[in-house]
Amino acid sequence: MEAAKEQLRTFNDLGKNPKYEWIRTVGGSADRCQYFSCGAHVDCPVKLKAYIMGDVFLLAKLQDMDHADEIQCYDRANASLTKDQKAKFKLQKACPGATASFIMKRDQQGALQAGARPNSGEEETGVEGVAALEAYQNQARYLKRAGKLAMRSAPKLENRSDLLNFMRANPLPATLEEMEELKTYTVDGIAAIWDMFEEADGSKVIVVECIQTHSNAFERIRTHLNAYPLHAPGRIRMHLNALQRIRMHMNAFIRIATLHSNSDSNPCILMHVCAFACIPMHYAQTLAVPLISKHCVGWIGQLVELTHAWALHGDGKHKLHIGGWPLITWGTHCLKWDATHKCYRHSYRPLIYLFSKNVETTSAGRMAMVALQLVAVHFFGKRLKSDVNISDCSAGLMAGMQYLNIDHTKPDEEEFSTPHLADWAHLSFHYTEGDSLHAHAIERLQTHSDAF
Amino acid sequence: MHDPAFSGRLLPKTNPYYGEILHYLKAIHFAHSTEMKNLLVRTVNELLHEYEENGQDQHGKKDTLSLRKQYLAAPWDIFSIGTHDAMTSANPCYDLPLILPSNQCQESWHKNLMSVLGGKMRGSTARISAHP
Repeated sequence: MEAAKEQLRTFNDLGKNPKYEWIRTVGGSADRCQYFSCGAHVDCPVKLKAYIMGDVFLLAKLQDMDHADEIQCYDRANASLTKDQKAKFKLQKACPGATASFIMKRDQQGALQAGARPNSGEEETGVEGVAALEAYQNQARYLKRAGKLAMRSAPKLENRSDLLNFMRANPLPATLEEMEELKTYTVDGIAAIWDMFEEADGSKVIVVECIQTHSNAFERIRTHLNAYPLHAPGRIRMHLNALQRIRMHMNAFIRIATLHSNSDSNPCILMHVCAFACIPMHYAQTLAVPLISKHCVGWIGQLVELTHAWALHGDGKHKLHIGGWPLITWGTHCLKWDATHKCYRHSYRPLIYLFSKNVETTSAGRMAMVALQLVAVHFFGKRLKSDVNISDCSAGLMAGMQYLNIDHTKPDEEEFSTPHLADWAHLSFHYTEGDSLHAHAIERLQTHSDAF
Repeated sequence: MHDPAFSGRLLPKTNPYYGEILHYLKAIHFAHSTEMKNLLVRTVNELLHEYEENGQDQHGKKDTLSLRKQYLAAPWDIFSIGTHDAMTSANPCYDLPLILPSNQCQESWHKNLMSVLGGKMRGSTARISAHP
């Protein structure tokens, strides 16, 4: 009867059971005849009979009856989550770090934005239409026990080569609708035209070299054409056309990928001399990968329309790194109501992430700022303009963040005019680190506390 | 002997002026205008200079002089909440209400990110520095 089950998976009864939900009912036999009822509707009278006549498999409706009107939302009578909620939960749970509590809070936020009201009366917590935390936790345990918690097939990110591979495999989509939730994309103008080549010696390394001018890029490609005649002219033409396109639309600069020998044992893509990627920068010796997610693009979309002042925060986190490329983030903040403490708090909203070998340098900051503008112009047709920048005592961050308000299409506009503020949290935290005070200092501290 | 409990990244806690300088820094942070901030920075600079010349001995590599050079001099003496409040500034574009000179929200987000990642991507500064 496996054939019967297989056919049931594609039988939707003229669209009335769109998700092919058929539940086996009692009766029949294991190998000759089985009965199924519709599982898509509540108390649905539609029943199917699957049987074998000779060598032929047949599927027939027992009675010519219409499906019930009420949609069956739950897969079990005592289930807390609907079928759609379970499917969504399974998808979200597959992402690393997504806990049941985290997913429930996101569902609650979505419900509140859709107009749902917080529960009142005896149920003082939660939101209407969103199940309690226990239901989410039970579903998480069930998925774990049943082994159905397939993690999203994320690329292995352990070293710099993996990071650059990720950069090639996850270019920024053309439209916002094409971006997926919970996924990061690299901000790389023409990442899609990167190409892979297999060299005879089996080299498996990437080193990216930056060059400064368009003419140099063309010269390098022409040199490559002479040095590597094996490549089809069509492929080279495609690259050159893309280069022209980029020059027209972005006025961006080009960096050339070159091959170098390396003893890295992890496999990675192999880029040829002619495979180039446009990174929005015009400075050399910067190795970094700017990443962005759909949420970040959403924040950027709101900021370009904002009519009042906003601040750009920038900070690096050395404890978070991939292969020695630490994470640097830039973002802004908004005021978020803290229901527990009954006050508004500053809540960080990241705009772009950068894994940078150069750590917190001016070039890395500049690269991120230009990438931010690239995204803003790409999706919304407007440029971002921060009113103040905030960072800790990093000269590289301070100078790099100034480039957000500098339009590269206007060469004359090279003024650093954005106000900058130092990070008081950084200063106070590092000043007060440790938990003991010298006795004499304690005495003086007490004296001055009284005075203040 | 080096004792981590007494060490401070900006000024050792064994420094005789450690306690009062914390209040001076807080006062600068809460200055309501750029002019007030400038006045406080100048006053604290003069006071600390007096301590360095005629005050008690300050042991260790980091003393009030290094602190002054880093945080009480341009360009990093800009951690006052009133620097861009537009109350006294002639430039109206510096009106930045509800914007504080603090990355606290970002630091908190980083901390949360580290807990969410659960050990993935976690390294140390030493390991990063070891990479070419």
